[in-house]
Amino acid sequence: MSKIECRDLTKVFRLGSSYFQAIRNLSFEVDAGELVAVVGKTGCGKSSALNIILGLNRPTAGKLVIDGKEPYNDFDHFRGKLSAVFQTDRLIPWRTVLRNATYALEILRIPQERRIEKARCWLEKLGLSGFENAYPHELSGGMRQRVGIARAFSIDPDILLCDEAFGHLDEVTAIKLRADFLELVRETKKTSLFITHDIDEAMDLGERVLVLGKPARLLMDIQVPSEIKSSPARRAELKSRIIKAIESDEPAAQG
Amino acid sequence: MDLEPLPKERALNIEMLISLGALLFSWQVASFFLPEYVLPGLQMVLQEFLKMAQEGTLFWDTLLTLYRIWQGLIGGFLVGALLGVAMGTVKKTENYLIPIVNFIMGIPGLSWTLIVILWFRGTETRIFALMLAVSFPVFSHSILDAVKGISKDLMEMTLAFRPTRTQVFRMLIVPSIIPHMLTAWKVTIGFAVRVVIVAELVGASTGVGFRMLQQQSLLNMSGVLAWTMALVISGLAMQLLITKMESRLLRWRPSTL
Repeated sequence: MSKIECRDLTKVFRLGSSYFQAIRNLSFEVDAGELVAVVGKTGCGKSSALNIILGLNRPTAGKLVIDGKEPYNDFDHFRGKLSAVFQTDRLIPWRTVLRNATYALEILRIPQERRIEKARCWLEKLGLSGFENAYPHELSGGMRQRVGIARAFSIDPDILLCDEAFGHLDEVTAIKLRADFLELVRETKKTSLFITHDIDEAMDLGERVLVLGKPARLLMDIQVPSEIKSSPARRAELKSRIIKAIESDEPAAQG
Repeated sequence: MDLEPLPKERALNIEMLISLGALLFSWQVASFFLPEYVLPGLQMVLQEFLKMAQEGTLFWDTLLTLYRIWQGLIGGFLVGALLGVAMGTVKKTENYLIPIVNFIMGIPGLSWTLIVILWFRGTETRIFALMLAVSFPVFSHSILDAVKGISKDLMEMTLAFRPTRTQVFRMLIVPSIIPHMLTAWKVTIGFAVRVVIVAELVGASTGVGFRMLQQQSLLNMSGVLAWTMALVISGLAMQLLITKMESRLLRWRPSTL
């Protein structure tokens, strides 16, 4: 199990002749085995942060460290350790459901028999049995996203990242998928970071919620109390605090 | 349950038969009013065609011409694919290579025909060089575009799992560019047929181009037309072959029905 540490992370993009700051001195930590939701306005640099955690982009300043190593600089160290579920399913259109689910395992050079067995097991858990030979375009959005989740879990990563994974699904499908996802995360005890713009989703999924401003920096870091499940009043109060923090775009008092 | 019937697969397309029939009919009617060396009747062209088939030249010369086309195009494809992939994946290579590729692409096929005759000895070498020169820029351009067009989302998803370079190439790049590659083949085949005929006409003593020239010098219009037919039919057959490959390789695509 792995721990994510983010220290004074800054990311600046060049846009033509001007500069655009997506992340400004972002600091936070995610403990091993913790499920943390990150919430913020759309376009607040959450996805840039995700790409830095995945090691696909280099931070402009500051450090992003997982188990003492930086995903960008020690790129190959993280082989098989990171997985992501993206906003759009990002399935390979020319591969069937089964072969999409084996994609990551194939990269890790798991022998064919083993990888088919593993992929089938995950597809079954996500309710996709019987669709192994379908192509992505033949499935609904919710089912495609399930294949994406199966692919992410298939390699049994240390860290699981989700970027607005259920954002474009209809509410009923999203609720069901969220519940299934949560169960799998709990069952496999992965360190997970769940990025979303939906405050309710953040409160439902995260044990802890990080609220980001725009450009991305930490405004609030709160433990989600378990009472919110039973007390709508507590829930509403927490939600309004998060909304206030996002609206003011100023770091809020902790507590 | 009342399901909508599936659209029938038609082996022969009626619209196509009507339009082709109309064309042949007007040809036949026109041939009654025109001298034979301008427009011979269909039966004469057919006769000539059968004669060529009996003598064996129809088969062997057509085969030779097709062989020349494919040999050259495969060479052009290999060179073009190599350049296209290099330009698309290695930084800055495009800036160095594109001007050269564009310059070569700007040279007309006819100029190349003259150039290869002066540069090389032997018909086969000349035609191979010609085919290579006219086809590789087209292949490298379309493959470069295809490599550039690979989905950034899929690339990031793949890279997140830390694949090796070969894996990226085999699992993402190659399958992504296949549709563009097939389109490039279709375009290039049509182009190559035209160029190879000119080359055979100017500098060969075998092949469809040469046979056409022979018939023309005998003022035998039926012969010229019969060879032209042979050429058109083989061109269409090659296109059909690529289309078949396309529907086989791209069966994952949503059908447009």
